[in-house]
Amino acid sequence: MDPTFDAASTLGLQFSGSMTASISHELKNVLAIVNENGGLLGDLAMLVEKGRPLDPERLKTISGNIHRQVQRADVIIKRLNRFAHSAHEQASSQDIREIFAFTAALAARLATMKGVTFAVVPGDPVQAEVRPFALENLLWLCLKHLFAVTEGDRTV
Amino acid sequence: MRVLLVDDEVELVETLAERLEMRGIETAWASECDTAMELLDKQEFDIALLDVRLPSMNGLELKRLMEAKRPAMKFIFLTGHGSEEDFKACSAESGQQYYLIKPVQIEVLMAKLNEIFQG
Repeated sequence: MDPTFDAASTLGLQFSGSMTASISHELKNVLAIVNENGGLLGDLAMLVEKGRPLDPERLKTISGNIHRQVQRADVIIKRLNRFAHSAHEQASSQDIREIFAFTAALAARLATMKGVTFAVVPGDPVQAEVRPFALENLLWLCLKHLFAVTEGDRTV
Repeated sequence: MRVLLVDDEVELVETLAERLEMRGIETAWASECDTAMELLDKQEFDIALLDVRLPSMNGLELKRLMEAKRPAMKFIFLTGHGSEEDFKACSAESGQQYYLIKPVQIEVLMAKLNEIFQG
């Protein structure tokens, strides 16, 4: 086997593993919040059955919480889908800045765990011929290195 | 029973705290380790429910810090990870037997809290 290809494959698998593990953790959190809000609705229904009055605003708040978490999950899953598809995309003209922003969003939760926040500075598109997955992976390796060398709350 | 909830998902701890209060349990919550330690300085708790993955330090590290201040306090870990086996290994290493996997049913959590409190 080509040792260069083998090393790149291993790094790619590690990258995919880190991202999907982080995303699955985030989705579990979303489920946990929806679960608690659903449970709270049940608790309030039981109190109403016992004769306690219920403020409709309370229901609106809980409904809004659930709706927000569903939207959050939708964003996470769309991001996961794009990430998965990037693995088999061939090299083509891409906006480098946009791929950087996407990778930062993908890795944001892992960064938070390390006390790092990403700030994506807006700017004009920068076109280049790249394989999206390779660039995402390369950027992730750089970010991982930054996590290792920075201490405390930092913004990258 | 007084319970301290620590998880970086604010909406989760807030709602869980409300549901536990409805069941007669005094609760306080924190979304950051520093805040949790400050609460520990001001109030007494019987049990802490800790997320395993927290920013700045993990739940096991936070447990050690809390235990140093409150040796009698008991702990339950909450994890989002699907691998129960991994967490069992992690729990065994820390000498901790109590853990729950998100999303957790309130009846399961209540049973665990009562078991630890009475135990």
